[in-house]
Amino acid sequence: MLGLAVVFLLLLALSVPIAFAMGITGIVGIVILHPEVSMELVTQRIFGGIDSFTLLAIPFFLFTGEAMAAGGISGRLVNLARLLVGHIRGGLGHAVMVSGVFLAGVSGSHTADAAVLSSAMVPTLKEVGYRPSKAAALVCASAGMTILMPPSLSIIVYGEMTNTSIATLFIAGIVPTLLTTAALMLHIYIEARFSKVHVDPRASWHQTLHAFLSAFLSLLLPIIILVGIRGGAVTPTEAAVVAAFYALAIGAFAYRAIGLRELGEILLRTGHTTGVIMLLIGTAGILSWLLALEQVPQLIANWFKSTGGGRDSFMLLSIVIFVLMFALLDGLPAMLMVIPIFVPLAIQLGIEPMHYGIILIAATGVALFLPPIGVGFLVVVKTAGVPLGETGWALLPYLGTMFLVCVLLAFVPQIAFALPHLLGMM
Amino acid sequence: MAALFAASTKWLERGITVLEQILLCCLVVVMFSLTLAQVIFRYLLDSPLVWSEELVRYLLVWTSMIGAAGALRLGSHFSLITFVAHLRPRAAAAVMLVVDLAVGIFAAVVLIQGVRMTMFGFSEQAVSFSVSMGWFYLAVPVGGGLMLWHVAARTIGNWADKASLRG
Repeated sequence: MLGLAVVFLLLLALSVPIAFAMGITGIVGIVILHPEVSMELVTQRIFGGIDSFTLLAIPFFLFTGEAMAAGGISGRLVNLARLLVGHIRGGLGHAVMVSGVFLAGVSGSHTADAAVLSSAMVPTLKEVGYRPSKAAALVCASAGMTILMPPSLSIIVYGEMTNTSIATLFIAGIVPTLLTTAALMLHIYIEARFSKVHVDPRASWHQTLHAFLSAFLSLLLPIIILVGIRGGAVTPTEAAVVAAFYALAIGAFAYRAIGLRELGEILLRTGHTTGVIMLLIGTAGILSWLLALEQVPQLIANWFKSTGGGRDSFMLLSIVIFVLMFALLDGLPAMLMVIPIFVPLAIQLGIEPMHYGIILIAATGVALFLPPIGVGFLVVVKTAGVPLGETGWALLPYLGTMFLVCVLLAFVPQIAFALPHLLGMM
Repeated sequence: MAALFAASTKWLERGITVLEQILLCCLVVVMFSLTLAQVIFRYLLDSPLVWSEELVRYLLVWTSMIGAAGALRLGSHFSLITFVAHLRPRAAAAVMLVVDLAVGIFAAVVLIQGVRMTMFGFSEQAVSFSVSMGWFYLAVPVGGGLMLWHVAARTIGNWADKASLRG
């Protein structure tokens, strides 16, 4: 088993795509450890892993995000956010945070959100006197903190893999997102007491109303998704297809930004990204079968208990491991690797799997933007054209705040689960 | 002769890519329409479709396998580039060859085992409609085959470029 881990790490280090590295490790594992098992298991696990109505929500939410981006939604949302909070001490910093929440509500991909936010906000921030590195750091923090906002793709994958309710997890993600947003805005507010930053004049009612109406159709989208799922009327997949249809309709007819050419591009991008995510899920299925057969989770659990570690130390250890590992391996693929090992362990230690999922995904938000290797961080640095090192240092204090909120979520599960309880979903 | 071989590979790769993209777009459109129809039939017309849910699940497998092959051609699968980013050109080319070999081996296993699974699947029927499962299992070997082809085409292309530089 240790030999297999070495093979896997070697393949990763050589830059073999993660999905393929998992597949080959699985194949080697079958050949060496279980020659009695038919190699057909590889294709059966791939087919079986993808063959799921729940996972169908992923292409539809990807489509929604692509259609929203092509429909010129981001500009309207950012404009509204600026008019709403740009006059508060800390100025545009707050606008970046609120834009992040708005954008996350219509798209499931946070790296994509980061790219959109970065091209929409960094030039504006520079114009009013922010250092480019500071501007990029704000964008990173904003995109990272909204990872739990529905419709989060990470939540769909986690729910599917651990057999927990995606609808409940979606609702559970709302308050943590708002809490992190509030914490970061407080951070920006306090910071602004010690440095001079540009503050917008207070917008008139007329201006705000105008911006609100212009963004209204897109603001309706997260509400459609949430009401649909909360009502229990539709499954997340059905909500996703309705959202996708809505996004396409307003992009094509109300905003007139999506024609046939754009539609073709949206379809292709959706198909390719779906392929990337689903192949990961399929090949992770081969590995998790092998891990279960070799009783690896039990071995690690016994070892962890023998060191005298309990629930709390396991939570803290998990967060630190997740942040480091997810930064190295892009969130979702890393999540697929740790779920089969860590979730059974968490359950043995008496941690609620849904609570553990919220922590795991919140840690992803920090990890994706962890300098110098987080993918989201690199995307922002590239799209904004800012110096990597300086941006990294400017970002660290914000990540610190996010990390603290993540630890708080770990020890106060009520933050996430009070709302689903209140709505009678648990 | 070698130049002809390289040129025909390039030409074939272009054709396959176009077909692959058309198929991918159609699959997403069909999945989308069927699921939307399912919602409309269940909630608006109150007469749920019994077969749509199973069918779109299988179409998702088709979309995923074709999409994954396309993503391989575009180089958009996640990979860890931290350690290989600063290699010299010569070492980078060697690593690239090893990576392509690894991807090729995996794709070949998927192709071969997928064909076996598909052959077997033709004696099985879908649960909620009478179509042979073989048509859906077929997605797996087709995806594996396309991946293998893309990797081979890229390797041949690189080799031809190098040969033409030398010549």
